[in-house]
Amino acid sequence: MMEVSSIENKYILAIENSSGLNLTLHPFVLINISDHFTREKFQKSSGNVKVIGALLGTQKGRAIEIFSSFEIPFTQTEENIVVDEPFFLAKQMQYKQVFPDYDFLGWYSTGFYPTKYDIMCQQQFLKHNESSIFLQLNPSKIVSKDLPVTIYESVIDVVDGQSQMFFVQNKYQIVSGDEERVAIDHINVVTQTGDAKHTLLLSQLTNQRNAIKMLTDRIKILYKYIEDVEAGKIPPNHEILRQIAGICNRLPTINSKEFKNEFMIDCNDILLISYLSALTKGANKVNNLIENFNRIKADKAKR
Amino acid sequence: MQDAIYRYNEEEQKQINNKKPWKEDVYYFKEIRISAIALIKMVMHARSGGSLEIMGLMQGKIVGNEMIVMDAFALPVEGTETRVNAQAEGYEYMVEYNEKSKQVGRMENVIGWYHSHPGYGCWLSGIDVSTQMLNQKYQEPFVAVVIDPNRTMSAGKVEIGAFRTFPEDYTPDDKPSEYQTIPLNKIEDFGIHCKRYYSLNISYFKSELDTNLLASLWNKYWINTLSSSSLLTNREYNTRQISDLAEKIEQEDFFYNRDKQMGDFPYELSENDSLQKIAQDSSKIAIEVTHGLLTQVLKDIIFNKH
Repeated sequence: MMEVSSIENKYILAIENSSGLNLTLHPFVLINISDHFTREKFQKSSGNVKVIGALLGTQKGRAIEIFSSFEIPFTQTEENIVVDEPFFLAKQMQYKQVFPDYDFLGWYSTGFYPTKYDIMCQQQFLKHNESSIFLQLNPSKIVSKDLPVTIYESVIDVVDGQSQMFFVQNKYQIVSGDEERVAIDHINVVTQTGDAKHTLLLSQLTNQRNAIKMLTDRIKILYKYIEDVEAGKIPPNHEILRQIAGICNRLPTINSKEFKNEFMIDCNDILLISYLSALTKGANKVNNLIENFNRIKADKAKR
Repeated sequence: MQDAIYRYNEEEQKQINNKKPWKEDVYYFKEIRISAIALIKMVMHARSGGSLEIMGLMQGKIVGNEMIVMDAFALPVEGTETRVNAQAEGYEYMVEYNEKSKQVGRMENVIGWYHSHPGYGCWLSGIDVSTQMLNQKYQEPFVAVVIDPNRTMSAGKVEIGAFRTFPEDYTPDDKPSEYQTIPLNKIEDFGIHCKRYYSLNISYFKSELDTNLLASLWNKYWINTLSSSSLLTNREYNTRQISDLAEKIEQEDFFYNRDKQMGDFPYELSENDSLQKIAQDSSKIAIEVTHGLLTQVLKDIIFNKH
């Protein structure tokens, strides 16, 4: 699927990653990098644009969650690249004041694939986090449906008797907090339609429809796969089949009596709220009616 | 050119700052445009504060009578509603942050501040009004943005308002602002000061790269749309809304009975639209929870056996 792995690159070690890191990435970080890049592009207005920044987040055992990022200035020459370390440290202190839970996890940059400069940066960042990760965003026109983002870890390997640093690709997942999702949806909807006020129900339903469509598309792929395996068109892959079976066995997701009960209670609560709201509205209407009545009566009495 | 807005022209901004066209007209700024990154930053920061009010500053520029917010950053200050001039506390932080931003190509200066009103709507309180007035005196051009993270979550859309205050000697035309629910314990604060500022029209923008990223992001995070439930995340907020409503109804009932005993009945109710407001509030709550229920029922149909 990913085109990147097929490109021969002497800085990437094409091995299965065995470190077992569980990486999760927040969309906010991507938008932040994108903003940094766009800004830089217009400020410089010439040449190749490269940006560097730090990734912040939490690490619990092997689970890493990237929440935020900030920019770091650097100087690049033909042979060398130097990250502004005092700036980095000062900025990190600033972030600690507002978000005390976030630690330095690694760094990001833009480009198509890792270069020698990226190796140099990585060496500089390893001082601050010995297992720092490297996120690369490819800002050129996005053709594939996949996110143009790759996350690497670095390993030391011995080549021709010399130890050398390589990047190893790592899988990652996108997660978003609820508020993050609402904000991003908001941006998406409002900038498209130009009006957020009257389309709340519509946007909500559209979102849900799209999500369900995604789910259907994926189920269709699985279904087609099983069909083809059954017809003998492709050899069965037991790992995949086991996973499909696993998914099927989980349905129906919850069917216990307790759940039904809870669900009904929830339903009834909401119906009650709607009922109360209707009553309040009714009371208001009646009140208005009486008011009008009184007014007419008062007018008549005056005459 | 979608991305042209990201270019910053220092000369031009200086000229505008020297000319001060906003001195002529109290309504000079009518529009505010907020970048995707600034909005997401502010909403996430507001939410991270929980029930505490947080605050931060916005960086941006002026184009015509539009204020353009490019970026925002958090200040290490909490509980802004209870203290006068909380902003001063973050001053040192602000200066340093701005300095650092310039080194990484964020050339814009601070043009406003934002803070959160968790659960009680987007408007300026008495303290906010005086803070903003001070800012408009000494920091122009300056704008105040308020975000309600709780309502954002319950409505599923960002609840945000942008405001500028009038000069002290200015009395605006009597123009009713758009109606919004305000909890009983804040109504007084709202009512006294609501004629001292006006709100700006908010729109948003994003870069071409943002658009591309967001489009492909959808391929990854659609699951969240299905798995989240606004009913669960907003349980506490909804309960509070309902009890607030109950209090308002009780108060209304009390006034009604009092008027009746005083004998001026049939009374003149023509200006009294409080019951109308209560009805509006209750419809809003009902609509929001019904939306939440809709999601749940949908999921029940998809994932459970029927």
